[in-house]
Amino acid sequence: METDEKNDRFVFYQNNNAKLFDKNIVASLHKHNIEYLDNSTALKELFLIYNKTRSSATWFKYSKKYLDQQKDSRIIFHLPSYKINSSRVACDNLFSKCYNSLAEALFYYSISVAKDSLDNFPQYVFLRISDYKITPIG
Amino acid sequence: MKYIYKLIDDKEKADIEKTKSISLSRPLLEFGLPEGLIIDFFRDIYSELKSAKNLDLINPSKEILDRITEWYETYLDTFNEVYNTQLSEYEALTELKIFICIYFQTYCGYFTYESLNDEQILSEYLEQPRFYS
Repeated sequence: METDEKNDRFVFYQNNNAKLFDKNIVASLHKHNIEYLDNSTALKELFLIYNKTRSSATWFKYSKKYLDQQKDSRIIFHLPSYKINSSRVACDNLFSKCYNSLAEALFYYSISVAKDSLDNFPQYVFLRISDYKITPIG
Repeated sequence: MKYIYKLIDDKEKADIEKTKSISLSRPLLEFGLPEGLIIDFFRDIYSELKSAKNLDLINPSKEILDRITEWYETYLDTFNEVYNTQLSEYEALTELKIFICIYFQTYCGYFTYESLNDEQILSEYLEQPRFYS
């Protein structure tokens, strides 16, 4: 992995292990064809799909039916941590308040996660196109 | 086969050719609609964070709490339906914390030369056919 902290750029090189990248960065990479759900699809249908598959790609690979002419595909890269040999699925809550409701607890926890992500993760990650057989458009 | 789309300009195109790498960015920071169907609540959180001068002074509005409540109640209903169980509040919070972290730690790639910062172009981009293959 090459880093250029000044420009917030991180380049990842593929490892033979699908979940490991150069220098043992634990991450996963998937390519998905977008699936276009009915325009009337509600949050409930999406959550049902997620709970049946438990795949985080669910959040990124579905779109509305009226966009189906786009025939998009997407690359989805999940990066639990860019630190070597480290992976995590949660971070500390920055707030030590007493919460009046679950919604309030989730609000403050989400603020903590967003801040942690913005402070500690790169805004962009770069993948070497030769490693992934990706052809840039144009 | 050309299968990824992201806001891209001449400089980035030249950069791709020079470095032989493509960039993936956070859906949270890019354009909303194409990236997924549940982004609104996360966008609200991001906006709150960006506009806050002091984290200690952040307070959720009733509107955002109502949206979060609708969000987690719907989520938990489906969880309980699929797994035929009833999560406790503590279990629900843990489940939803993982959910939130996954979302914030994920990057996506979409590429286009269209200037999606222009609302009119963005609108046309979303509705007109685009065939890249």
